[in-house]
Amino acid sequence: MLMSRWRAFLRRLLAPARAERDLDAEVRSYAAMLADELEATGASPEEAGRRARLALGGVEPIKESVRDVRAGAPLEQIWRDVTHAARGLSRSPGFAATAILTIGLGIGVNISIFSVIDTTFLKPLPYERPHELIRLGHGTTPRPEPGVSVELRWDEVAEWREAHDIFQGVEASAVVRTRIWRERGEPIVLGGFTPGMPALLGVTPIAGRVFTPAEVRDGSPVVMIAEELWARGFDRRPDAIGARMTLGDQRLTIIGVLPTTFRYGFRLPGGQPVAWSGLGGPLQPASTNTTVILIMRLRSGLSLESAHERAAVVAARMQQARPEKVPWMPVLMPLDRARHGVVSDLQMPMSMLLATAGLVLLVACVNVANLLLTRGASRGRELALRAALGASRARLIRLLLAEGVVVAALGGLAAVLFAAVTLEALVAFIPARMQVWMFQVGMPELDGRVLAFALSVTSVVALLSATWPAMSSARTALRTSIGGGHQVAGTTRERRRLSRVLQALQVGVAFLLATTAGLFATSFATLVTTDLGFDSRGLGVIGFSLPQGRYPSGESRQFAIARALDRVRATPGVVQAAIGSTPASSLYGDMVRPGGTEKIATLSVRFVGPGYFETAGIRLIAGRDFGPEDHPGSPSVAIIDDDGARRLFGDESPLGRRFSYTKAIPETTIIGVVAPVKAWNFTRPLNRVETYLPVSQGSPQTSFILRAEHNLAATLASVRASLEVHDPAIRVTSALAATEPYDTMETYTTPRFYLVLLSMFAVLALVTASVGLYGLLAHAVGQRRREIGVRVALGSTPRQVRSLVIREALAPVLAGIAAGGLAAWWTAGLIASLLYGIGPHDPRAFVAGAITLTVAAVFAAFVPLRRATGVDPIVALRAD
Amino acid sequence: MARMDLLHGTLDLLILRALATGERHGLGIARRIHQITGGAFDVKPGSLFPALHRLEEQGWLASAWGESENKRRANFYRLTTAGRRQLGRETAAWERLSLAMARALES
Repeated sequence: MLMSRWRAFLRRLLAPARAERDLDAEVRSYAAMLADELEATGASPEEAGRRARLALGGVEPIKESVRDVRAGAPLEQIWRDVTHAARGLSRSPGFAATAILTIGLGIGVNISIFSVIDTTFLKPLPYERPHELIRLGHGTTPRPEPGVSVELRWDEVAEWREAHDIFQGVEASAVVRTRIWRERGEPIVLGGFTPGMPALLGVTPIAGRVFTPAEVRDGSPVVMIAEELWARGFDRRPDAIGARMTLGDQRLTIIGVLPTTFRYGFRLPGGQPVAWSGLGGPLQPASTNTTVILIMRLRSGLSLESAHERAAVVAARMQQARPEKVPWMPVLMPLDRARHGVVSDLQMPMSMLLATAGLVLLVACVNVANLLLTRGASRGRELALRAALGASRARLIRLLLAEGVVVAALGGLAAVLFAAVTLEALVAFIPARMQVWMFQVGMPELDGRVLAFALSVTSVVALLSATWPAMSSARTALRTSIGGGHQVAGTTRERRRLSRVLQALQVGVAFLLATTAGLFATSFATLVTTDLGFDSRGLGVIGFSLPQGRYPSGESRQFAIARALDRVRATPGVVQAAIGSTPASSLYGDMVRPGGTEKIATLSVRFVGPGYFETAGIRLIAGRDFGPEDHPGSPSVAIIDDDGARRLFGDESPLGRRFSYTKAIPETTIIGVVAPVKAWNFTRPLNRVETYLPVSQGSPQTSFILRAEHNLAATLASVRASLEVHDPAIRVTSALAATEPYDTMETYTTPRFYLVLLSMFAVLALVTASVGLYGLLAHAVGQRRREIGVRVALGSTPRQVRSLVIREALAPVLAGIAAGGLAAWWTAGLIASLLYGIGPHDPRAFVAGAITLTVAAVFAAFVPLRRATGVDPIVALRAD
Repeated sequence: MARMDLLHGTLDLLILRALATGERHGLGIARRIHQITGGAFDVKPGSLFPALHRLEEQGWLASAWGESENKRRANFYRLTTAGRRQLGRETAAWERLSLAMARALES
């Protein structure tokens, strides 16, 4: 019985036209035979046909009731509704294209952003049983200053390895530092790990092998490289295994390639290594002070709490052996959470972007809901007819719902295509340094997770945008059919009110986004126009190294540096030069308590030679520059920046004040005040006091700043050549523009990324809302043509007609701006930390937002206005 | 005798019964039911066709296009083996029900 039903269903599915034809023929033959019967009783053929049709009560309802009892009837109905809706949409391509495009873009941006967020925060680490993996951290008691971490040392590794009751394995990694790859002349970040690390994580080399413990112990000259270096340097050739590469002064044989997934989850201080050698052997000797990262795998089944308890015991034992160490507590951090620690700075901006994308989608949904509502109105007659022919309310809702669902589904499809095309561009647009943090488990891609997200978002969109209009239109259609085919005023008004509320919502969200983008734009404008405190034009910086062997003593080094500086100054194209590093670099701070104040200050100390301020273009505000009178034997002196001086001493003059910097220099006198300089991290409130000390009273500095007369790059090249000719022992390690830290540390690119993305979202929302407003007004004018015609016939001026339409537009726009303004005021507080130099309630952004919205509204209203004033009373009255 | 509303499930039995004596088209089935119930039941096409299609999908009826006595093309229904078994089952069930009803009304 079940089988036969399925067979019937399949047959109909395969040949739907034939099933329909047969059904129609069957019902019609019934009617014909009924007529034959009646004719036989003496009725005329016409009369017989009429009475037969009457007895039948309509062919369509009978066919419909047969369809309802068939196997798979609900499925068939859905399919019929969907194809019907698709046909209906193809008849209004303008409506369909607008709705699908709106939803497609709305969902598309959400897919792209989700894909980025999923990769950054949500995807599991690409390791074997990642939940067992732990990174060891140290917490100290009492807690040190925030941000200060007590680092793990190599000498603790062996002791943790003994803790078999807690861990299945303990491995360490460390960054050695940048080495020059001699064959290519490019710098390479070299890392090291103990040989068991890949196995501990469950990562196998994609080519070659891992070094053995024996190789590490004996210092065999072998190296493993990262997949990216294999691709970049060797075009993924298999013969890279066994090839030689010289890193610094070590000639090494490549024995294996590690996949990109290897480095993730334990980002190392000092950069992301692309080559590794064995840690702890002669090749990478680990002294007791080498900072390491410890990765451990918990014993299976051991809870984090009991592991912590046992680790505390081990730590206490280690503590007793070394009482001089700062008291500390071991913190077992799940590796996955360690990753979150790295990206926690990004949580806020990324949530903001996702929320913004969500708002864009909301506008899109509302817009499509409004379009469907309007469409329901223009299909009023058709729907009323269906209702009159006996279609139930549920049937009408289904019909209208089908249209919304088809639009949403096609929109979802368009969104996936859109995301597929744009995702790569979006990722490429993320600043490089940010990418290294973000994509620790791989690059964002349209995988199953993202597609599942797309599917669920599409379902929600279908539900949100289709349900309400469908129910409203179906209700109207039923009432209209009762009202005899004429529009019933009340229901139209109800629908108009609903669509105006939706419009206000669109305008409100668009305003919110426009204002937020405005805030970011104002902030960015402030950022790029911020006075850096030094003159960056033509300012370069040269770093070099002096071999310890040739210049062993401090005096000999100072002397060599002074001679090199003379040489630089004599190089053609150099206007000025001085000892010191680029003002754009940020130095670590040391906490001191300056004499005569109760405040604790963080000093960031830079050693500079005479002429540094003049060369860099840093203005001396008070006091004097360093001079020949400041020598090792004279009292130690310092110059601080104006901001710092104010923070420490208020309005009092800092000149002559003293502070103690180190134990070696007990008393330092402030002799000068200079203009504050903005280092690359100036957007963050660091509250450091920029402190300059003379090199003559400190350690030798192997870095010069210089100002080039014309071409900085050419001047730097000739300075490099002239220095190395002058003293072959000197090796120039870097020759860069002084502004280079702003570029590598992405001072400007990161906020620009947020700004551009937000602006794109705001524009998208604005355009969508404008299209919505246009549609609403055009429809309102169309609906009121007759009324306008009558008014014109009765003597209304174009001006009065215009004000009629404007009133229609004004209410939702004003309500939207008011609501959006409130929302923007509130949300601005949430993003305050992402803004630089302006308050979150900067009036410029709000005014700009309001102006943009009004201009957009005027544009949207323009065509409907023209159409309204162009209504010819005769034509308008004749229509219908 | 006044026309009665069809009890739920009765129509299926009547259709199976009407086809017990040979194959018929839709109108023929309606007429046959009218006849065997002594005019008590007049089946409307709006109920007849859904029932016919349902019974056919359940495998109790089979249909084929043929020609009527008036040379009209019509879809003729006949009982399948399963349909004949079903007729037996439903007849028995109905007899039990009507017996019980009769007893209940007599008491």
